[in-house]
Amino acid sequence: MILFEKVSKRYAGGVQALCDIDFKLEEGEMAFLTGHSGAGKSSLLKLITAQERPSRGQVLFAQRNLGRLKTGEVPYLRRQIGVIFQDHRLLAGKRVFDNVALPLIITGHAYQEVKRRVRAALDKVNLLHKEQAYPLSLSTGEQQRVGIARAIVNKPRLILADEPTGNLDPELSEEIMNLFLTLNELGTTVLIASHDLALIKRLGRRVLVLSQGQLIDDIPARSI
Amino acid sequence: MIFRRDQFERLDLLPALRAWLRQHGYGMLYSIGSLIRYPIATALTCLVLALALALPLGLRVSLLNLSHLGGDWQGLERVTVFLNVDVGAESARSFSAAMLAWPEVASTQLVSPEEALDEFRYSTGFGPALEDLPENPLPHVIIVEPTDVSEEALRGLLNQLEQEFMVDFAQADLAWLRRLEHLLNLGRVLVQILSGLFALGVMFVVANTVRVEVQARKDEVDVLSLAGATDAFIRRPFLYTGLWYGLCGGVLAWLMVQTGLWLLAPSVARLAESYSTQLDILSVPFTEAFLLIAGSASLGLIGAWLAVTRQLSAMRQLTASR
Repeated sequence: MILFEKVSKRYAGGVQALCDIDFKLEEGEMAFLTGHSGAGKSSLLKLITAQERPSRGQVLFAQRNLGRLKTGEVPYLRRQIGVIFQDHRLLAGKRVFDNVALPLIITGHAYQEVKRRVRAALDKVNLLHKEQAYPLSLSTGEQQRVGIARAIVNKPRLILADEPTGNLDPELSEEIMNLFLTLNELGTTVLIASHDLALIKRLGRRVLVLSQGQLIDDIPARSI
Repeated sequence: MIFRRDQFERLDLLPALRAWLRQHGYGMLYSIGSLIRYPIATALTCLVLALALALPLGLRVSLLNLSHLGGDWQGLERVTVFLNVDVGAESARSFSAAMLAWPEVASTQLVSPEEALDEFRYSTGFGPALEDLPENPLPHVIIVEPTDVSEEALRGLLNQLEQEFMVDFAQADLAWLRRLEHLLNLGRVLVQILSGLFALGVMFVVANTVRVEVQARKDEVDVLSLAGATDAFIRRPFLYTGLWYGLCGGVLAWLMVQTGLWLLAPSVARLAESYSTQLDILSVPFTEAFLLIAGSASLGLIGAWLAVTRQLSAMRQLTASR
């Protein structure tokens, strides 16, 4: 699904964010990306969503070289990826329902279909009863779950999460991570950047370790 | 794997069209929603646009009214020829008759000093004062109807007349109307220049309003973009916003000018009555109204397009350099 080949990323201004990264994520796999802040986790994720282009090497998504993507093709790549942010990035002026519906509105789905899929996504994160609420009236954990519902509503092939539990207490973190496990079991490829090492260890999935822009370890999943 | 349209969009035209229409519907509703959310700011912007549009439109309609006023004087043009005071009745009569042979002259009418004095007495009420005059100071006057009322022909006729030794001087009665015509032409050019300037103004007002709006929605633009919205989708609500502003401004301007004309109509009618003529004030003609509204809508659209394109590319560069 994702293939990094000798990927380096140097930002304008000379900061070397990533250096010679090589790894492969299979379809249906789930992996964690860990490392100190500034190790390059976010940069790596941004290369997959084509927010950034690699300075050297190539990033492939479903056999397509993302470095050669035309600007007009980027939106169609992103429709296959659900992104979850640490600060969830919900639109405060819109109700939960409308926030989750955004990816479907973008693709011009009919309202009946939108309603059905949004409800299904909200049901998966156990927030169906909050569809008419505004994001600010929800707890942090609930907000993050709405963010996840938005990311999965158009059934993406890949889910990327950037520190999804960064603002949550351990109990809520566990809950959110279990949600990702369920999604993965349903067939979606999942890549999660996180530095919650204890939690990652307990889940026993594949872990990619970044340090100062280099991939220093690739721990395979424990057989369950 | 091709990152183009979704499978169903690529295979079938009709669902793709439906999706496109729904996206437009969303953009339209969204823009209306955001305009309604801040009704006072929206109304003020529309008012500014309307004022900027009403001024050139008002001037233009006034000019149309004035040209309408000066339009039907063809055929009424006369040249008044004042003969020298010492020209006698007999010479005057023969000169008047001789002039009929001129190709430039359609008809002549001789007015004797006595007739002129009578008319003067009658129309001014100076009767008793005129009785005291020792002799009639008025010359013979010949009123000439020219065959060709074009300005050049008229000037030629006047020159020719003034070279006649019996003629003191000759004047075209409607010269002032011609001068008015020139003034109107000048006015028309001025209105065109003003319209151009105000059109630019309208475009920039919309552009600036939309620019502020895009900046205020930066977070939303980022989220949309990451969720796979095309630039066209992101731009659409803002373009509709510009279109609505232009439309509202145009319609308001039209209403303003129409109201102004309606308020002016009774006074104009009274004025015309005092000159014992009838004068119907024109309302804004349909073509003018249509051009105004369509024009301001397009200006709004163009302004919005400029602003949103500039803002989006500025945002992109900012993200890229981070």
